[in-house]
Amino acid sequence: MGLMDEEEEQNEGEIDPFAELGVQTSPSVDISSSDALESFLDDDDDVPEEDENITTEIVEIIVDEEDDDDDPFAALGVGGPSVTLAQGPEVDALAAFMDDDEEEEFQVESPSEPEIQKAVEDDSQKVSNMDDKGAYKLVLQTVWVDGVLDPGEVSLLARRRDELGITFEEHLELVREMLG
Amino acid sequence: MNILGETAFAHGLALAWADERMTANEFYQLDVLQEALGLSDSERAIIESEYEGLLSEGKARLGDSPTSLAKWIDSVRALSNAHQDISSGLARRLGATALRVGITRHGWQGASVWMEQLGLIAPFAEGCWMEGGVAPPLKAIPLAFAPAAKMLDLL
Repeated sequence: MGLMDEEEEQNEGEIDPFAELGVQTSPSVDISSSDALESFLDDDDDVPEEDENITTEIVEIIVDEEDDDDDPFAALGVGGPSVTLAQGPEVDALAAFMDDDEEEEFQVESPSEPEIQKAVEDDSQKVSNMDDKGAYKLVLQTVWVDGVLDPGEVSLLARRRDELGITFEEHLELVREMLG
Repeated sequence: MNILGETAFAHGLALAWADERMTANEFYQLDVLQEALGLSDSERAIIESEYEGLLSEGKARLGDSPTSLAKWIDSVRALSNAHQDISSGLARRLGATALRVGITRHGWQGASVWMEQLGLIAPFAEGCWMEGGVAPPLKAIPLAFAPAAKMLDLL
């Protein structure tokens, strides 16, 4: 019995079938863990100090912001293909929603979406006859009518969720239902 | 960056089959990828079965180089090993970046499936739908997000 235990102990962790086959047992890429991912985030993001260090390959995209003060590639010394976003170079579509005043965060300024506003007004008249989810679903169904979800529509939905007491999880469930 | 599969594992599978053969090393590397993604054996088997079906029909997408698999696994492991705040923050900002450009139904659906397997669907969705405020855009994206970014017309 003691002999068997000893043999088992010797076997444990010593026979590597891949080593026996001459097969590499870990990815050949250095995964030496630096804070490469952290550089994608702003300095003011809440990043714990005890993060594991990781390196990873990155793909650069050029975004339409003027503040070029944190260039992850400069920080990492990493180059990558440059890909331009599909939007104009000087406009941040969400800038209007990023005011410091939290109360104004979800103010809707989307005159370009009059049909959505109208749908909301029409829906408001029907709200008394349907549950909150049903009312929200009506609004939700209008946002992809033009094929593209834009910040004004998303802001409107966020406000409606707030007004109707719809949770974000319920919202996602409704989106799933809507898209099938 | 081509989209080789609907999920990160399917993408890795296509990279493993880049030269139309699977070596023992590549099989092991897929084990590593499976572990990094937290996939069960049955979930992996479904993906492999679907892919092998396409292979036999000659319809499977193939990577351009088998060496890309190691880089791919590296990128996925980098995300899965990162602190949750970092990976979630990146996912949230990916969603917010996509919203700035405009999100199509197809883009939302495809990227959601992708981010779900990475375990980052919640923060990604929050970024897309401005839940909890507006996240700043990304200036660069991790390789593991690149196919999702392409689905979202960011690349």
